[in-house]
Amino acid sequence: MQFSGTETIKAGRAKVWEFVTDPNQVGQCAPGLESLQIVEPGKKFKATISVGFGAVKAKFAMDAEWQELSADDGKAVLKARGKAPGSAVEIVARMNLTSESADQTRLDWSADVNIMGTIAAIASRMAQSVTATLTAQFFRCLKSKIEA
Amino acid sequence: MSTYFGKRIPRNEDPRLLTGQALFVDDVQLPDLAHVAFYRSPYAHARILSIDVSAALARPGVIGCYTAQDLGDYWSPGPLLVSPPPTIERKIFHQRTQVPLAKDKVRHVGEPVVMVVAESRYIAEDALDDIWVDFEPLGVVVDLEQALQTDAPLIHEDLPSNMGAQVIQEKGNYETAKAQAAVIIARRIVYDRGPSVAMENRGVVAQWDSRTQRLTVWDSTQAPVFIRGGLAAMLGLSESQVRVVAPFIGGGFGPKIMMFYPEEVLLPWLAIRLKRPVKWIEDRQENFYATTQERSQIHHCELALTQDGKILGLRDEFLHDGGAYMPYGLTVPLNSQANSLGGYIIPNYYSEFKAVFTNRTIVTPYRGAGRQHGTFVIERLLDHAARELGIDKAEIRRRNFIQPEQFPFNNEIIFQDFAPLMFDSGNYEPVLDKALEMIEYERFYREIQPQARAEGRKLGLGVVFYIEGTGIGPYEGARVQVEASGKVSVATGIGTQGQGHFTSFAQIVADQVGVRPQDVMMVTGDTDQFHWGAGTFASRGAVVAGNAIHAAAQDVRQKILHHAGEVLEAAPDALEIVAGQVRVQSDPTRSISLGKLAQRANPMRGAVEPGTVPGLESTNYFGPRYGATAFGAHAMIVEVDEATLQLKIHKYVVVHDCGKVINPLILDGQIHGGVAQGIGNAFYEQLHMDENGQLLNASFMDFLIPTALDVPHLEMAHTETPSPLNPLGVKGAGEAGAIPVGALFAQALEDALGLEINEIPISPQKLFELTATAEALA
Repeated sequence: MQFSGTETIKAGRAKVWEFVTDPNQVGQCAPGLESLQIVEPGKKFKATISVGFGAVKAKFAMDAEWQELSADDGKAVLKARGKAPGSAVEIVARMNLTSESADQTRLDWSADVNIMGTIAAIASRMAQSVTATLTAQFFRCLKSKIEA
Repeated sequence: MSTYFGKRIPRNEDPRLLTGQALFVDDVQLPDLAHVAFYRSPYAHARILSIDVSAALARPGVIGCYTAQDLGDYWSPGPLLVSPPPTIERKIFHQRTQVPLAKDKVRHVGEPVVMVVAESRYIAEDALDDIWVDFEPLGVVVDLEQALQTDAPLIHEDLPSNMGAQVIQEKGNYETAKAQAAVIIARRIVYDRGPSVAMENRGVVAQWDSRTQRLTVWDSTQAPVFIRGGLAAMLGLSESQVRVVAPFIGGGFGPKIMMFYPEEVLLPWLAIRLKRPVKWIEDRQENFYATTQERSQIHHCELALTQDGKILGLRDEFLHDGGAYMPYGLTVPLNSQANSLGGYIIPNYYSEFKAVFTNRTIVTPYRGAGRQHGTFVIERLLDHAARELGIDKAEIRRRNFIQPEQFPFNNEIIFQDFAPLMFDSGNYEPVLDKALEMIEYERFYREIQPQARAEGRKLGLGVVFYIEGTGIGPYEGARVQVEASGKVSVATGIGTQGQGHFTSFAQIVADQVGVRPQDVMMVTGDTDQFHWGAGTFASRGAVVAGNAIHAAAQDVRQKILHHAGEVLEAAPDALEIVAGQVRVQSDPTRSISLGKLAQRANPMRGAVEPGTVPGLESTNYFGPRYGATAFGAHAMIVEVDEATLQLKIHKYVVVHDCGKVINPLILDGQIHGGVAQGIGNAFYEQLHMDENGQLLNASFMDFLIPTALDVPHLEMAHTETPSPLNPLGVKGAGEAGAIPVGALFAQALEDALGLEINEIPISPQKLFELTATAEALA
């Protein structure tokens, strides 16, 4: 599944960058986040996330790693792999921050999400819409926190 | 002399089955039984970097976790079940068979990676979630055509491409025939199938008895004798130390003859290692991945005909989806080749297939076993030709039928049993005529369809013809014995999965031995009782085991008459056996019961003539030179709802010929079941897979199978053209019902909607797309 979008956030690029690349801060907006552990600051972290696909609820244990984290040009690539009972997920998320003015930043993002195993087999019809809903929720939260 | 053969009598086994008294694998309960669950790959194609089972082992109640490494020398790719026919010259075959547990990489979703054994299945399942496998994802191949592109990821990296096999079969010269043709019909045809969806999933229970040094395996297999021999060889045991029992099985349909499934290899090994009995029962979701299935073929085919609709030649080039491994050789695509000839005279023929490895579940035969695909090809091409040439669709078939006096008919290509594809006997036209009469063909086109159209209703009729190669070798055997009780016991090596063996075989014996079928005690699929034979597949049980049983029963009859002749002081041919009594025909008061005779044939004391063989018993075998070919026609009238594109079958007719019929009731049941699975294939069932090799509908929430409401009442008729290949004159019937249904649906829906259909399965959604496309083109 591929998702992408653009958000405009009323804050300077540096402030947005600092928020979205800090797992502890951005984690406050991650729907269903149960735990977060920084393994290697600025590089690796682990997270546990609960997601419900209709009647199917799953807890994903995720390993995430920044593959690119370039504050200068506002580019970041996060690769995450996780597992849930009988299932696995692979995510590659890309983000690009562009300064539109001193207090406005454009966030272009895309994500490639592959769900495998049981969840793909029994909840695939739900996966697209659930992921879209969670993403929207995430960005709403993100904006309100940064703009606050 | 047939009191019972040919009679429509109820099944001996039904009271046990219907009251829940029959033993299925999951009914096997043993003291100290441990339970197995499998960690299966969620990835369709990935390298295994590491496996961590420490957390699973720490879970209370877990007895052990085993990976490929733990199997040591026992780890080995499975045997090749069916080699490609040595008799076919133009072939390539790369043998790649499944492994018990994935070692370096996984090649399809559901491939087992770790075996967990625990005190209960619940604990074992929970422990699966404790396992961490580090996978490195690889590119995934799910599409047949993409799989052969040069940049496709390689499923078996030691091969130059994903092509697993290639076979060319040819007779005459198609190109010459084509040059003379008045019309060439060329199409791209896609025929897809799915899982067999047996009511009972697979299961294995294994027990090692240290005191007797014997292994007992209860296995939902269609081939217990080969499982026994294979397990003995793999485990270094004598065959006499291994007993394999295939008890009652809730549907086989082909996938249960795949050998060896990883679970069949692993459970016996585990039972010996743990010195504890172990059980694994497949759940429904596992079944979608871990039990073999059939899937798609893509055909580029053309038919060359004269102006009056005579076939000059057929050319067919197709791709066959083999899945991640091809342990069953080329049986399925070879059947497709055979069935693409239909029951027609096709003097020039060129067929070439490539079997392709994909990151999908293994493909092995499932009821029909590629015959559907081939039948669809020839029946579709004939329909298109009939339209193009302005010939009636029944008539074009009639003009091309092999004629009764041409049998045995040599098709000059090689069949799945390595022998030339010979049709033993047939009389095709009466079958087609009967179907046309029963469906009221002329009246439909004269009155019914025009009237429906005038009312704005979409009504269509289909009528198709098919052949079914059945009853192939090599052989089966049986032992028949009259016991001291006067009842008869019969053992044969094949297993039973609902075919009514306990009745049809009993009928054969009852006629010879002079008892009632209820007095015949059948044992099937227990290697301690009979340990020769190949198994239940290819519609061969009644033909091959049936004739072996017949031969043994005839021997026993001779022994009975011989012994009774001595007792009654009469010549054997002056005797008759009636209701368990042997009596002198001319004086029925001079008689002796079978029980007494059996006792006399097995003296406890005294002396016998040297060379005397005890008992009223015989073991005998039967193997045909080649398979017997059944045939038939299906016809239906269907109405399509224009708004929903759902359909209603108004009438469904089957006219079928499988030679001599042992029990018409059982035969009807076989046809019913086959048609139901055929309807599922034609209009309901399809495996949906994403580009990552993930099955998106691996549950009955999303995978549609027809219900009782979707399967119409069938009107059936039979003709009987005996097979000359066996004394009973029988042919198989197990797959007939399922074979032509896709071709029938395509033709009937075309007739109703006025569009062209070259694929199966079809569905309301697919009909909508085709209608939209047709309208856009119009």
